[in-house]
Amino acid sequence: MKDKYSYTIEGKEKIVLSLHENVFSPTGTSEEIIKAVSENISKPGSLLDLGCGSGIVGFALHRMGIASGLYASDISMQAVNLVKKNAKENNIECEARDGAVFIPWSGEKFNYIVDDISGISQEIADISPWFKNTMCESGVDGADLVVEAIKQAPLYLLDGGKFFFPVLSLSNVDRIISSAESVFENVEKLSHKVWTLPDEMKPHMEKLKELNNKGFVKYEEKFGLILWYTDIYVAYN
Amino acid sequence: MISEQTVIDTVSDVLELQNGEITSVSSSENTEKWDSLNHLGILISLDKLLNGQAAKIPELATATSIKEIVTLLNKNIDG
Repeated sequence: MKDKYSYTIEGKEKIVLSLHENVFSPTGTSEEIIKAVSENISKPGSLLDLGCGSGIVGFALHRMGIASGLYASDISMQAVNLVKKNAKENNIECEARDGAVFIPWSGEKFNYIVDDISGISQEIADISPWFKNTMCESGVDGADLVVEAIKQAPLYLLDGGKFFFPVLSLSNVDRIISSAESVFENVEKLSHKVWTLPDEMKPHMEKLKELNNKGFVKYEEKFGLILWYTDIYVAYN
Repeated sequence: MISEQTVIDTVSDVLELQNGEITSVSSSENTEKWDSLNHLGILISLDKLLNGQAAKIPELATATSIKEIVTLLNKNIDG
């Protein structure tokens, strides 16, 4: 794997992050989250990057002037240590804590929460290139952790706060959206991005078909390719 | 039939380029923004325009120039 990742924000200094084999590396979904969130927030505020991995989402939003106060957490202590290192190297002030979902933030509230907790079917994670040395404990339909974060999110948002979350079609999209609609008055889709399935997953099409039949994942076959998608949503009351 | 200009316009829209930046000789080789992710975006836009007919042409996945795309579409689509 690469040991560095760089992200360029137009007109700003490049962010260069160190990576670690045991910490989830930034993906296209991370970049989609940054784009969708930055286009939806007009007023800077405190921002929690939940499931921060190496820190790219929060760092980019901070550098764009959206996160006036930056907080980040991850269930992996190695990720939290990496975020602290990356924050120092990029001269970004960030309070990073370790723990599952909202446990590190008991009693605290934020203007914005960006959820980047891994949300794909555990059975897909096992055959994907994304979770080789990192945890994915989202359940067979990939929705467990995301739904948990959605349900708790209102308790951690300030008045007028917004909760941003990605929905990957390699998880149970319908379950995630219906849980968001049950706890938030407003749930809006901000963006839709289609990806091709990585080559190393193609030998596992039977598994994919089985999960698709159960409603746990959605994909399409077009142009001779297997396509799946990431939607970015915002929820608020 | 789909015109070359329609394909050029679609590619320009997806790559967010100005009029004239994409021409009949453009390809992923000579257009920086035409990467694999944007190529997928181009195919999806063309498929919408052609009511799902492009999705049935697997050769489009590796057709990364205006000329190749126009030729393949006109060889395979109805109307």
